[in-house]
Amino acid sequence: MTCKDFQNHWKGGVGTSVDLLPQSTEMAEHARACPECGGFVRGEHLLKKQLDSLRAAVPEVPPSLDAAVAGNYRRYLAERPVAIDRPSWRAHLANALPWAAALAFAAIVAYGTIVFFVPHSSTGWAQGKDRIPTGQIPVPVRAEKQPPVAAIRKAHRGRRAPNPGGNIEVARRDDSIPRAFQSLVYCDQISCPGAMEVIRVQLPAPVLGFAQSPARAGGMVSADVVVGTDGIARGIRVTE
Amino acid sequence: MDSLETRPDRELLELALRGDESAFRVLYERLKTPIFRYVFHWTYSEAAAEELTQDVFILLLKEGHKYKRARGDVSAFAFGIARNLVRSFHRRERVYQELPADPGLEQIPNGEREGEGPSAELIRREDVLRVRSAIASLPDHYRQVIVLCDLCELGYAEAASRLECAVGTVRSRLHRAHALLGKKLKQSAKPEMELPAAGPEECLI
Repeated sequence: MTCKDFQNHWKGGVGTSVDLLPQSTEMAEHARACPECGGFVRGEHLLKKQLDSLRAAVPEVPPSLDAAVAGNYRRYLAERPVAIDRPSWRAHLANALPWAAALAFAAIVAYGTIVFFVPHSSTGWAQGKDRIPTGQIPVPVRAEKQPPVAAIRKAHRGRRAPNPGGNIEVARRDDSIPRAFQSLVYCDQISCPGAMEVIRVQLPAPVLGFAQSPARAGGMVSADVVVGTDGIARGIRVTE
Repeated sequence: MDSLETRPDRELLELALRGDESAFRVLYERLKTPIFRYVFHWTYSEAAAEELTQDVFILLLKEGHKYKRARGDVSAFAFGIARNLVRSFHRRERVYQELPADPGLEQIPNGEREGEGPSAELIRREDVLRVRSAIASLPDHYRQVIVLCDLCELGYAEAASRLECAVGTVRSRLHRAHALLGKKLKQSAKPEMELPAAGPEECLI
């Protein structure tokens, strides 16, 4: 056994107790043979003796301690109902805090979901129709001067004479009725998100700037209105 | 119903917190001596040890509901309280660095004094004071293992659970602490007067 082995055995707890040393013959022999390790063992013996004397010098637990601790326990029992049955406001706060935090978090998440993922509430076509501001309905230019569509069709019915000039005129007159959708508000991908819906409505002819005519039943005009998901009309096309 | 003596500390603590005084007494009897000794070896004052041990049990009752079984046994919990109280005590009493009066020395069993004169007792007292001051001068983590393993006679595993570290750490720390303590004691030992070696007697006749 080398000195290193001896130290390792000692350090590892094998020979930490000097009482065990004589039992380990190999270690004892090495301690006898090696002056350094022998000195180390003698030092440990001495230290053990000194620690033993220190341990022996500890006083016994004083009897007054028993009485004091028993008194403290009875005082604890006397105060205990207050402490247990009526928890302090701090305890209430400590209990409520996680719930409050959870509720606040849930509210934030719900708000975020509504703002970012749910499109603006669609209130139905009827409400959307009601919401069309009359001021925004485009009034066709020269609408009063243009004959209504039905009147033009009636006038041209049966007329087949090749009159290029006349055809041009009719065509021009037909074009005067807006066939394409006319924008009611500015609309692009950002301001008009989501799918559009086309609904057919009947509006009083004067509202669209058409003159009352007996050709129109009840003076109503049919129109296709493009309504966004928010219920606001984006465009209109007069059909009849 | 089984006896309280056989119940584990954890159950005794639960019963004591619910108001069972006999359970508290059993728990107190189990813990009082190791805690008192532990505190005494940190304060070297019987009065301080008594006061701090009392405080340990007061806190054990007040903070007992915080005890978690997964973090160790009740005695480890109580030792943790004692360790914190001792630290507070040392912070408070930092101004008094000198060793207090030693009533504990009066408690040395008579059997050890038999056959020894007053001078031997004086030497013993000096020896104890010297070892105490050497231990007190050790770094905190070395002092902990010496107090727990050598003075409170706890096993490595128990000491490890009190200190919340590995058993191997306790072993290596104890080994280093012994080496350091031995060195300090050697330094503090009074140099013995060396007698001149006796030479061959000359015959004067």
